[in-house]
Amino acid sequence: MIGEVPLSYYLLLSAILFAIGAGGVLIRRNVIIVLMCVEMMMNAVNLTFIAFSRYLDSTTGQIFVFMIMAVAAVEVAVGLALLVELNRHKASVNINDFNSLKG
Amino acid sequence: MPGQIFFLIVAAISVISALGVIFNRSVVHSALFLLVNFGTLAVFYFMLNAQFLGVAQILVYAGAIVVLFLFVEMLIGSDLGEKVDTWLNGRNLLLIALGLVLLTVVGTAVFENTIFGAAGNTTVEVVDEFGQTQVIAASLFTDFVLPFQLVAVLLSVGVVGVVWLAQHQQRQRFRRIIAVLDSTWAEETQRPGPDLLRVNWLRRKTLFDFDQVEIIQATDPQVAELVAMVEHDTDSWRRSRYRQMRCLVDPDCKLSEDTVQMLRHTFGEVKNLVNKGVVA
Repeated sequence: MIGEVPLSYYLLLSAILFAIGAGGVLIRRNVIIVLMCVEMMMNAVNLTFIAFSRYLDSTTGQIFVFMIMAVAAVEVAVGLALLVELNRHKASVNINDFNSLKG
Repeated sequence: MPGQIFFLIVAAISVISALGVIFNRSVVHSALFLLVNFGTLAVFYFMLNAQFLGVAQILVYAGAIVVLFLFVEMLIGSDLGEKVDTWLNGRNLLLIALGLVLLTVVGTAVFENTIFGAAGNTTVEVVDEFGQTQVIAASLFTDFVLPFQLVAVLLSVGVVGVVWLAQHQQRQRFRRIIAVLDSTWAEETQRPGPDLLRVNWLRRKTLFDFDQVEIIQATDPQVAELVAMVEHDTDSWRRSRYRQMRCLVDPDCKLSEDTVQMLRHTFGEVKNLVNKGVVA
């Protein structure tokens, strides 16, 4: 059952998921949703890594995914802590309100 | 063939849930769609013979990250009130078109190219013989020891950083917060200066991190209530500060001698308010 699905199926699915995630980052203005979409894009890339790892008979891709998962967990924790702190200052989750660094 | 059909079903769920994350008004629903999306990816990992990462995906993403998202949503109440019909403006249509271009480019790349890169030696037979986790561990602890250690450092830094971020700047916004007891004052708070906050304690009737107390117009029972609350405060950081705190009392509100004694006992310094109306 595993070998029946061609590699290109996985790659195409991952491209679709990545495009949806990228679209979400651009369209939505809610910071939490934007962070979710970034996670979705990361997951799409993870799927590519694992698909290649399977079709090339190599574990390197899986190790990469392992590292990405750790980094993603830290990224979400720090991002959400920043968001809570920003929310205390601005009482907003709209990404357009967080432009104090803009010149 | 059944494998492909199964793949297509799960892929459809995956794409629909991904779209659900974006096109949903409620942030909580978006987080739940995200959970479904992560779950379908775990299924793909299992199909691709990466059971270890499939379980890790469920543990890390579904178990930790989605819960964190939900938790923060509940903490800050984050519905923006974006409306779906306002999304479909010219700018967003352009962005959707750009997303489709991205998809076309990547899709073309997928179908035009053959697999590149050298094949490894971790075939299905090897995995079956040694076990999935063992094979990954062998690779992780030989070829990738340094990145593995660095990830450990990164996680530690992340944990410390998050705690620092969440805690450290709690009181940075106002240099001074004053609890005001004034029965003639109707507002909840007042900001006379950029870093000064006056809070109407008679309206709030709760303890917060104030730096000074001002009694402008209050009765003895009201003051006694504040003193009782302060005396029973369980927060150790605030408890340590009350003995150094200044309490200004307006002579016009004619507090009884007992009440003033009580205030003297609780706060470090009790003084008469001299310049009425002028913020100290």
